[in-house]
Amino acid sequence: MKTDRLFSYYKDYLVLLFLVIISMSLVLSNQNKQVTYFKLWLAGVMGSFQEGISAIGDYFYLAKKNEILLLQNTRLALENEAMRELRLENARLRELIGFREKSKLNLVAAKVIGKKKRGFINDIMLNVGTIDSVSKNMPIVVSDGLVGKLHQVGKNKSFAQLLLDQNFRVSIITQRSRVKGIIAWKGGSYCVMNEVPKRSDVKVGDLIVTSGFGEIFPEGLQVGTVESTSESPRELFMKIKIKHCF
Amino acid sequence: MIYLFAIYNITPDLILIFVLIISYKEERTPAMLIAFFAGLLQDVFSADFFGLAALTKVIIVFVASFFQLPTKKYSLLYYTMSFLFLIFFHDLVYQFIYALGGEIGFFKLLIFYILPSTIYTLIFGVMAYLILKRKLWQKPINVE
Repeated sequence: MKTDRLFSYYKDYLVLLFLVIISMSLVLSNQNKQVTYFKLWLAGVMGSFQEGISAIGDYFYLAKKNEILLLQNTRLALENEAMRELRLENARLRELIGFREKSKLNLVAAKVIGKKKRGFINDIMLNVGTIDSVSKNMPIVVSDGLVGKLHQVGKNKSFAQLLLDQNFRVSIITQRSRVKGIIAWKGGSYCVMNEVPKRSDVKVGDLIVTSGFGEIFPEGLQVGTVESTSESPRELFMKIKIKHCF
Repeated sequence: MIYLFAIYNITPDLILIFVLIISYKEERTPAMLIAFFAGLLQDVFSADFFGLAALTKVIIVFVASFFQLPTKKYSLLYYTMSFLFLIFFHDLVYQFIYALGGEIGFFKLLIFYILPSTIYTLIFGVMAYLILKRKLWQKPINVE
């Protein structure tokens, strides 16, 4: 009797404690396979509903989307023509100097079916998973360049961490002068290129690409362009603003 | 990319408004359970720490229960001020835990995210109050 009264008196606190323990266990076991599997399974179920709803929304944007795709198609056709010429020229040059042809990227098309944008946290949910032969840490690219990487991969749904996330880092170089650095996003419309010593040859408009030094991102993926550079006598490194490409 | 209601990277936390309204109407235990599952649902759609939204939502609903009035009738001023505190507290806890070990300083987080997000979510919260005013807050009490 006394126990019952005690339980009903402290019921709210016990429920709070119980829920806090469960939540904290989930937070602390984020790397646990079972927890990830459960989350991705749940995301798959919910994602299917979301996919259906977004398909209705897509219907109303078809005309506009068509117009954009038509323009993009024309632009790409022109670029393709120029690239075909360059490819042939490149092949001839490679043959001359005996370079082996570099491996091509295998691309898997994916659709964004969910987005999360809370301040400095930016991620998206994609409709691809292990059944599409994708795996953790694979880079995500659009026609303009690097967007992010796969963070959690389920059977048919995945989560991707975007370049515009506070915890995302990529080793990069300037295409023209091969100056190395690390790109990071700290809020706002621009990214920053860190770890570049002062007086390095970096100019506004320089194209930034992935360096390929890490094991995650292949070399030469476009990341953005240099928007501005500045140096301070008090600091060892340059301040470089990067306009990301997507 | 287009985000619903997003202004300069800031989005209102509609689930937070929902659980706070529940906490003002319901008993503490069911409100905490609803908050836990709502938070878990929010966690499912993000790649960051699974369970973090559930944890912060449960804590905030527990704190919110102390603001519940016995009559369950709230003036706009009381509702707005208490929501302002609760949303700010929630964002503070959530962002603080998430940013632990990150490079973004607390001050920057506060100015560029927590405060604007609190105000933006509060605007939606006040809108919810005005829309649901008759249905939820000011139902006449039957006197025997």
